[in-house]
Amino acid sequence: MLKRDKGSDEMDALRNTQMQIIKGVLIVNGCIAIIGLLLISPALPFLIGLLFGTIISILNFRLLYLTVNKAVTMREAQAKIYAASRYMLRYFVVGIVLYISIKADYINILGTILGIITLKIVILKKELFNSKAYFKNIFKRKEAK
Amino acid sequence: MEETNFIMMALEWLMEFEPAALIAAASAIGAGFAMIAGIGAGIGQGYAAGKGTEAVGKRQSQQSAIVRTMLLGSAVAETTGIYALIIALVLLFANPLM
Repeated sequence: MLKRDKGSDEMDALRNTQMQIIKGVLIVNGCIAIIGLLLISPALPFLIGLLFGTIISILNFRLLYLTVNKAVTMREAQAKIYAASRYMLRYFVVGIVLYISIKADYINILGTILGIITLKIVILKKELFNSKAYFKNIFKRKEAK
Repeated sequence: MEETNFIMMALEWLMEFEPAALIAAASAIGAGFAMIAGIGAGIGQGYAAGKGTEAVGKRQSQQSAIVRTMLLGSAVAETTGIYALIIALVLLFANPLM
């Protein structure tokens, strides 16, 4: 497991990645909140839902980091069981959050869903679709590149 | 010939029920099918963790890079499972057809 040594390059790189993604999620969800404020007439339930979803997605991401960081130090069979069981736990938490959002009148479910799935969009944008060359070559065959 | 037309027989049998009951039953079946997608992400994460352990065992110096790749991959995989959960919960508790 990587320890929290200040100044350790490995730890800093991981922390930077996490911080960048969390910042990205907050920025994107802030933009969605502004758009929702302008377009949706009872804006408060949507904003509460968005806040709820954002907090849970960040919490989930942090829990995922702790799980992965611990799992890589275990034996293979043990790591498989540990990762899958922790996944089920996180899934259960998200299930409860979504159920509350559906049932409560003061929370808009669309806001919660957007808050949760923005994480994926941010990761894909930062890690996969981050170069212009990718978009330029997207329709070219491999032989033509 | 009419007696062996099973599709028509099944449709006629279904028409005996209330439409709302049919929609509720179909939604419950759909929610069950949607949850199959949640299992896949769990199995995938477990498999990735096992392989990550193996990789760290081989190259201890690359642990940070391995953890980073696993973290991002698992986060993307987990969101796919959450889509299925959303569909299932909406079908069960906020069905737009009922």
